[in-house]
Amino acid sequence: MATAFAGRDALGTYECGTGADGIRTGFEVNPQAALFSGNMPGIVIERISGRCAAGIATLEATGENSLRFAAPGDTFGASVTVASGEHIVAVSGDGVNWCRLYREDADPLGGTLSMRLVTARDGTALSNAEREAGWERYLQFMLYNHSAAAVSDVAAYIVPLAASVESDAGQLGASGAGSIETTEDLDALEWPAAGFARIETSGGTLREIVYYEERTDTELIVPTDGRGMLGTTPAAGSATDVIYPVPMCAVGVETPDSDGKIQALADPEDVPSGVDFFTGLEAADGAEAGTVAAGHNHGFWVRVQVPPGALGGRVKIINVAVQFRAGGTLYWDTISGERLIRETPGTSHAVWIGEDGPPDFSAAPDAISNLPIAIGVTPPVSGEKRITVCVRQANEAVLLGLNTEYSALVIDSDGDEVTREIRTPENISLQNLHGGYVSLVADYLPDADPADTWLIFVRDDGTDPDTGSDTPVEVSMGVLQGLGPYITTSRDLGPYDWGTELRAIVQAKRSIDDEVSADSAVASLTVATRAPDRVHGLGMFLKDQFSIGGAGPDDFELETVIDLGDDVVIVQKPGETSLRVGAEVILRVVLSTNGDGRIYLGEAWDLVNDTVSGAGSADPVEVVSADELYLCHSGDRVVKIDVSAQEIICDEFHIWNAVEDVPVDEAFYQADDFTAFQVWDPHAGRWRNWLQVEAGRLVFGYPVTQRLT
Amino acid sequence: MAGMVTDTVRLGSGLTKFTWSGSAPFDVYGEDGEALLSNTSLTELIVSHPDTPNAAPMIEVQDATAAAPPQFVLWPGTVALQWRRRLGALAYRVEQWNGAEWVAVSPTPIYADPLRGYFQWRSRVLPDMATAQFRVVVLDAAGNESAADSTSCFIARVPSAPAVTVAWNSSTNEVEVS
Repeated sequence: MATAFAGRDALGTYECGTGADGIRTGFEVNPQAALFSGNMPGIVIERISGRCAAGIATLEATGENSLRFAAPGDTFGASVTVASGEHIVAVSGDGVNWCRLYREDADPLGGTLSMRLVTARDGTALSNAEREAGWERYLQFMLYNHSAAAVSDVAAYIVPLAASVESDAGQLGASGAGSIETTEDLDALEWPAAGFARIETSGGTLREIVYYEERTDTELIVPTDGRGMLGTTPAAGSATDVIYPVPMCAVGVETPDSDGKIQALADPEDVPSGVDFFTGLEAADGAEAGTVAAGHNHGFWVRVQVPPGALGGRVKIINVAVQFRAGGTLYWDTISGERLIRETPGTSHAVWIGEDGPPDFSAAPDAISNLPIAIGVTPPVSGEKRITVCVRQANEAVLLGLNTEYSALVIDSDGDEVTREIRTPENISLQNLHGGYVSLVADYLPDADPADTWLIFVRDDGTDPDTGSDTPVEVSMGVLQGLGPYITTSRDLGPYDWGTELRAIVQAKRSIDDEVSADSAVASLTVATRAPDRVHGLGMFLKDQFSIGGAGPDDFELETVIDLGDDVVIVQKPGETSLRVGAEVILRVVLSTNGDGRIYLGEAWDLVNDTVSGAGSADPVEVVSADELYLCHSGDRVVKIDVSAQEIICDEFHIWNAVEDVPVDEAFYQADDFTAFQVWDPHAGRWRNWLQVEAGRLVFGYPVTQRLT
Repeated sequence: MAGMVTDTVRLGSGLTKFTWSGSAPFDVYGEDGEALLSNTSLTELIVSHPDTPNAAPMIEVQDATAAAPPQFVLWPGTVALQWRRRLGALAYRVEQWNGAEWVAVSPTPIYADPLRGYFQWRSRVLPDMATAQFRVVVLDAAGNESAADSTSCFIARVPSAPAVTVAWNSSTNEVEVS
């Protein structure tokens, strides 16, 4: 087991306070950021060595109090024991990479913690203006010996970003722009696309550091502003020079004062006083701090430089090594980081054109430019040509979009745009469903450039929808399926109130160009269903009184008398309604608790079949006199009631036949086809149609019983 | 880029079909950098997405000859927040700054499972070229809320389809993009 804060973990890098502090904070710089998956709840990961390659490192419990660590691509190292409240270092199988962890509690260890290592990137970005002007900052850190013994040979130096090459095919001149050429394959060696290059003589002496703004497989293009970076002086190169890709930084160290503090910069652009910066690739050529006593600090500076006009993108600005000797063994670890440089794109958009097919993204774009863009297309010699257009945009990270959806238009041989009409939806219909719902059905026969969306316009006020002003419901047509050529929509609408006058129109729309068909024919329907009845028998009982439950007349009287004049009345009670002349009951309906009912007709009364005609009243009951009554429908006399003869006369009588279900809370209801007489059902909390007058007939909604009273 | 989308068809609201070609096997990535298909010989995929203007979905196809990592993986446009558990926490609420106030990113806080050591939350694909700011608030069983430090990140990702107008000029026989 490697002891935490000792040996390889003896020296840490910490953030410094900002502003006038110059002191070490408690925030240790972790060379590796990691996203965790799996779970080892009691373990806190404090640091992972910077030399770990990208990938997934793994921590695995090997017992209730032990675990082991594997760096990405490596085998597990030895199992180590860790007690509650203890820091330890677990080393990977290669003996180089490691992680420091802390155990929070005594709960038995178990499971696995996977750590996906990611390159740290500054959460801010260099602006385009800063990039154009050039940018330089001095970042301060504190090396801290958090071990119990001194560490020696402390030094910081630069770590190249890829393998070196020789400039054996071309070199820079003494000044100005130019290029460095090699016979080796820079792409295969994974050199960055742009950045700093360190030029050394064959003997290892630094000649110059340059910024290359572009590279090919064999060439680095260096602009004039890219010469003499990080304080170096432009110099002519040699064919035997060795070229390294390096981060955009140099390192320096500063001996702290007796309080362990270093100088503070009022502004990060300020140059620290008395600090030399080094770009060497080895400790001997780096910033040397010598020995750092146990519990002591040593200032560590990083100078970061972005030359004027550098290209935008993500660049590695820091890739440095810090070495030290502890207990006779030399250790080193790396710290790296990236930063985004924003660059306003010189050309903001790229356009691909396809002719009679989608655009070909494997080819170069047809135009790369700022907007507006105009691209010529030759009309067809004859017939039509379909043009597809895809536009991508670039951003300040120098990224171009990857969208592939295109818009389309059609031109004819005269160069005029053709509007590909869309077929009008057909066979539109509305049908009643249960519970006030309505089904709308329509068909669409797909065009060559088919529509893909239904536009459904519905009004419930009996007027035709206006597709120019109403807002439709848009429904995807979905993928063409089914046995026939049509695409059919079947959509449930509602619920609506009984008797609602619905009107509907359907259009088809093609999203790619927002082309819309003509209006379908208007479908119309009167809603003839209603929501289910409420439960029977619902109510509250207050002592001996039954309180009507549910909706209904809140103030329903125990008895309501409708006086029609001439001593003719309709008496309404809960569950009972009767038509009377004076004391004589002509008809009475009585409902039972389950909604059934019975109509009572006086014993001496007859039902007489005979035609009754003539204009009557607009009201359901016309009282001519106490002896002559008519039941009317649509202003016509249908049923005559001869009181003295005790006859009810009508062309047809239908006993215990189906009557219309009228969910209207009224004693009478007049529709086009019938007039309904209703009785209040207290158990259901609704009115019920018990007697229905239609043209030429009288319908009794319940069985009829003749009796004396 | 090896592996190329050859056609993109919007099937209806919220559904788009992509077709591609190249040398199998293919890996297909979504804008969040996650793999939609891996090591597949399929050459088409239907993607579900929000049906809003300029929300044209994007995929990235890499075939067997692809050399560079996928752009969506290098520039995913999402952020992942990760934090260490707080003893005594009942839940964690992730909030995002919308320019005027902190807003919870989801209606339900993240349950502080006592058996977990670290917690993560991943955002949706965020607006390009803008700074996103988040914070995590600890909630305890008594209804108390912790203070919270915020963290921010400048988002750079593969740009979405631009909001442009495409028209035909019959006088000049040109497609005009503006």
